[in-house]
Amino acid sequence: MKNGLKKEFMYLSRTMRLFGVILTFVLVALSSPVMMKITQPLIELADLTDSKTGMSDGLAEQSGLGITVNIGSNTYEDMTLIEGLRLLKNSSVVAAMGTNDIAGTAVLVIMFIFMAPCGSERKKRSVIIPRCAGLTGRLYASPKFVLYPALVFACAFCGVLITAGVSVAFFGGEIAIGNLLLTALSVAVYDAFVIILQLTIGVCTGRPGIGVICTLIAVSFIPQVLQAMRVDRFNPFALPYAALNVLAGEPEMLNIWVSLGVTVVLSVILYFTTLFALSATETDNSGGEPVL
Amino acid sequence: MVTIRELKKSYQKFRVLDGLNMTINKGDVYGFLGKNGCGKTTTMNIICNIIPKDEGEIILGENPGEKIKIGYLPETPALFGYMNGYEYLEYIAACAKYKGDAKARIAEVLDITGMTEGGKRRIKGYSRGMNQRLGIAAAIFDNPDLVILDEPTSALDPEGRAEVMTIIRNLSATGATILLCTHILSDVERVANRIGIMSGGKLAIEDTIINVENRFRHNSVEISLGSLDENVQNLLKDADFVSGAEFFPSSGLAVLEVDDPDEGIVKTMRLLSENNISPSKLQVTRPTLEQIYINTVGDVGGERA
Repeated sequence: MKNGLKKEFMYLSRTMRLFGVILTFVLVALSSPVMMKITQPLIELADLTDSKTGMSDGLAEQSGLGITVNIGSNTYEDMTLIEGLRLLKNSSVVAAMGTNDIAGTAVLVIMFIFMAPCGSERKKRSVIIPRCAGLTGRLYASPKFVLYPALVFACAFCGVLITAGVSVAFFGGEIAIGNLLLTALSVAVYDAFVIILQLTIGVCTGRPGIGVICTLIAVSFIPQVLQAMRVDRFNPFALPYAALNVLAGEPEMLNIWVSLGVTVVLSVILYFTTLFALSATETDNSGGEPVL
Repeated sequence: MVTIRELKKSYQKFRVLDGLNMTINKGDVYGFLGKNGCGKTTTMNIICNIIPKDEGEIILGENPGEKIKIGYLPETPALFGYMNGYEYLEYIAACAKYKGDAKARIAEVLDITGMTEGGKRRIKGYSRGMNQRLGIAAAIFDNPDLVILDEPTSALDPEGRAEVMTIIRNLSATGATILLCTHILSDVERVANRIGIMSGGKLAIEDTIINVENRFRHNSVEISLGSLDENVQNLLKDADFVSGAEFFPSSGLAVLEVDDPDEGIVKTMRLLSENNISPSKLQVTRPTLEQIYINTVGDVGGERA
């Protein structure tokens, strides 16, 4: 196991994949806050506060005399846009956008970075010599199931912290640390689960491309199917949405913790499925009985 | 060391092995020959448990059920390019759960394969020959009972081939049992003591090289003469010890079929001497392994498996 981990770490670091993974998460984590910061002048421009009333167009204020509504010259569409842009000055919203990207764009890029270790070794038959030397399926797969998801977990966790930290630094406001950590945990577990799913398919089939395609299909369609079946809670794919609610200050604690538990259990099942699939392909031709 | 009985293997409807029987004795350097696609690699993959057999019996070691250590060098060894040779062998040592001093053994096998310096470099930058040599180092690392080498000299330059052959000879000298699959028949002649030639999914020939050569010996005497006119041809053709003759007047070559080549050569010399004919060359012809191979399997070529 130790040598397997060493081998996988060598692979990650010497093929620059380790840096690719870290860079991807850092860039994705920074992208939303930075983009919003760059578009700040636009937001400022849109923040059309009425100079006379001190109120924005279309906003209502309750006073002792009743409700005062400021009717501006902007259309309904303008007001919707303006409200949207105003929201983007909220650090929680920007952090949520960054978190969403970490659960989406980042993990998509990582899937392609991890395409080779998730199956191409078997495809290239580079495990034949080690296998003849005594490498078992468990010793082959276990380091992968430890190192890759752990790396993704750590990077995604840090990525959420970075995106939240930068959002607060740029736009002020506060994000409760407890909520932030729970969000980071949810997204990190989700990202790690996606990589475990890809590892399972890639290693079992020995076809890295199939691993990526099947995982993409799973990530894209399973949530929709579950939603259509009204069972969109308590599963791994519910975690990114639940994480956003946590960041917005509306945590569904039961949904999050049960989904985390289900994800961990599914990950363990996927690991053992991989071991079973690998052991099923191990052959012993010695003796007289045919092995089919 | 390895006994294979009635081994069968098909890929879809194509039967590659059709009742293969094969015996590799302890200490053999077994030359495994046959056309491309005849099932040599399939046989080796089955022995190494890389693919399952369909039917048949494989007995490894002396007793059924006995496990032996096998080192395998595939035709194109795919190694981990991001490691250096030393690190790769460290990984192999871990896979094999090597009980001795792994570092000393790594140094030893790198030395055996002439990779002491190359072992410090990344595999990604290796030449084909270095890849093969590191593959051999990995195959022999755990002192396997059987070393299987699938075309270890293919695509190597003559120098590389000679080096690999030297490694095999050295391994053989240590008592290792080696199954050597190659298309380079001269390599087999240089190192092997037994050969098996596959044809039609089974072994057409399996014996020691000496026995095979004797079996295919043409029993013929070859004579080179300055001039091979009709009188000389008649003289040779009508000799009582000659059962058949073939003449090539343009090159002055005569090939006489005789029952006993040793006796035949003496009688031919006497006959030529009595008739004042002096040959420039007189020899008993011996078939090369290539001739035996071609006679056995037909033209070289075909598909790969």
